[in-house]
Amino acid sequence: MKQLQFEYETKLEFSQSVTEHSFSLRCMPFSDGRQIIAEPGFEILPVSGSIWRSRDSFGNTLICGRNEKPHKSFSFRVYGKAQIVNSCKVNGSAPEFYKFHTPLTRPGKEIELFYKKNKPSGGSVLSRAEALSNSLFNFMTYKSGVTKVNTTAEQAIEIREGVCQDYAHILLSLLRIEGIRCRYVSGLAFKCGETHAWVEVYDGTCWTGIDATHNRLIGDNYIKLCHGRDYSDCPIERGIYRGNANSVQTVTSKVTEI
Amino acid sequence: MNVPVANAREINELLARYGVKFGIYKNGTFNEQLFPFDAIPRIISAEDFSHMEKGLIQRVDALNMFLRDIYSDRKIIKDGVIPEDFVCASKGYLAQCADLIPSKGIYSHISGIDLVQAKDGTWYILEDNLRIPSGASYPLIARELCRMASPGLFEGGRIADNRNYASLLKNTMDYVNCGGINVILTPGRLNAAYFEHSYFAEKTGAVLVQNTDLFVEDNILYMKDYQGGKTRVGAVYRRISDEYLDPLTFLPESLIGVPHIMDAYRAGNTAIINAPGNGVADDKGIYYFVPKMVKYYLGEEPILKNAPTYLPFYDEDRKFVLDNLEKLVIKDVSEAGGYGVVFGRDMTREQLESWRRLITEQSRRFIAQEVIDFIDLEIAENDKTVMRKADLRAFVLSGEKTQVWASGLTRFSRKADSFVVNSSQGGGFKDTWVLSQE
Repeated sequence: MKQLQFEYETKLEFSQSVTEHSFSLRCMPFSDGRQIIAEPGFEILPVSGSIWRSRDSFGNTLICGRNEKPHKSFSFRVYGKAQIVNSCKVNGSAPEFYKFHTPLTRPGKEIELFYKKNKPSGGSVLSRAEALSNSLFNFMTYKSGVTKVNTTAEQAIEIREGVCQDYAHILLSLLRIEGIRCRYVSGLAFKCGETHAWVEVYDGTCWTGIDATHNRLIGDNYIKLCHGRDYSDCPIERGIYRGNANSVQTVTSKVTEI
Repeated sequence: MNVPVANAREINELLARYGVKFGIYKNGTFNEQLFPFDAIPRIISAEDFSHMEKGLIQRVDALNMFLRDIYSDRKIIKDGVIPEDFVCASKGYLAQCADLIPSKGIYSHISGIDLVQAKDGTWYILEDNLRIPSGASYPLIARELCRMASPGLFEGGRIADNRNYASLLKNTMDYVNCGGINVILTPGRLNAAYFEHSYFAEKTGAVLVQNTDLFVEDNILYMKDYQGGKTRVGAVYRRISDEYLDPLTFLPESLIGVPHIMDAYRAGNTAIINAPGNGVADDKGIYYFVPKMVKYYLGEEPILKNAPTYLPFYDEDRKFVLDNLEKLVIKDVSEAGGYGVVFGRDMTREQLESWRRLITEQSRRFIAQEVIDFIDLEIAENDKTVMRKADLRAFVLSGEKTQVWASGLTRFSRKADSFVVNSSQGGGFKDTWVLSQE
């Protein structure tokens, strides 16, 4: 069991003022059987308009808001303490939809070919998932800047490069071909830096986290923020505003052991 | 009783003036076409209608129970009546709506059920439309104009008055309203059915709005007014499709949606008519299972028949389809509006072969149906009467109870020998008269 302290901040700088900004944030980690969150807090700037809470059908907590007034930057910061009870497993249920492909995970020729070559030869859900993760890890090269948030699993495997989101999407695609229920997870995993993405697989009673980017099970320094069938179900920040502005995003996170 | 209404030409001119048009996207360009009205009504006997009415109520009730089930307990899947593939892999299934029960548990408030009558008089269900079925306004306004043109025809109450559609619609909105006003949300003037949106707003007293008139705060939906004030909205009859409804839940690029409307809906603070996610129940693949739903949820035999349908997904059906392709009509389950429909009898030998391969490779994507030889109706064309294929869209409204509107939209093909009657394929329409007694 580990006690962690976390802090996570995203800042958007707009090139011009924007108005009527509506947003949904899945940035509040929630307690489940694996992580227990204590003393959570958040701060949103500028302080204007209204802020409220909502949920989604995947079980995430949302912080919603609407700011009508002109603003040139937007930031949110969350912080708190997390007790990690189990390094990688959590009990729970899994609706059927986690078995099915989404537009981001739907396999094309390359993924099907890769699956054919690397089909696990049987075993438990977890061992088959780990085998696929291992083959994928050996096939791909981690490289940032070559893919975008809407890059599909098939597109990423075609170029054999990508970031944690791409590794997660490809693994989800392979697992779904294999008939395993699985989901996409966004969270914090490192001492400092950006957010991370990994995968959870369901064996009939419990979800186990697999970090495809590092080819290992997740550990007791991983804090989950949200999950869904793929990235587009659970972006940490999603917003819409009026204004012809470009935005630059900076993300900082810090996880320390207490 | 074959009674052409007088002044057909003038009625068509007035319909054009009111904007009774249909918009068609073809090859990437948008064209508005008039929706030609034929003055010879379709007449349905009181007895026929009463049978149809019972069958439609039964069907729509079962479909509503199905929607509620698959977005909550999913018992029909667990009991093996419908394979999960046909639910979760359907384009219309929205995982974003799982465990989200709408106001009063009603999903399909306005259902447009398409039927055809075979030459032996039997009515068959062709398609269920549970998302945003359009078209009720056309027979409504046509009747209004016909009353002016030939008032005598409608005297004596022989023909069921269809003007109650407005009150049926208003009662449906009021019943699920969560507190606040009713609004009709339109994507705007350029939408194919804009006439209908504005007409219903006028007839039901709902406010016609576009997305920029609405906003959400603290999970409550409001309409802005000119003074900068806000009015709470309790029910939204939205005429924009699911994927554009809320850019924060569905397509982020949607410019016609209302951010956070799904949060207001989830919190039970507003009703959305029809419920998001209904597309899973009017999928052409699910159509096959509707008679099974009637038995499963209601324990009754279906009163109205489906057209005989085969699912290549099942081995036995696939074999039958491949062997009898030239006699069947093939439909792509993900297409609508008469697109993706091909008849085996129109195919060359090579085409038949390539369709057989396609159906074998993508068995989940298609259904095959026997071609029903449905009746021709008389259509006036250049002072002559010609016979053309026609269907009927019946409108079923579900509020406190489920009711069938005693009228409907009869659509006909303007081409001889064509079985495709969809307005998006250039068809025309007739008024539908339901007789009030024998």
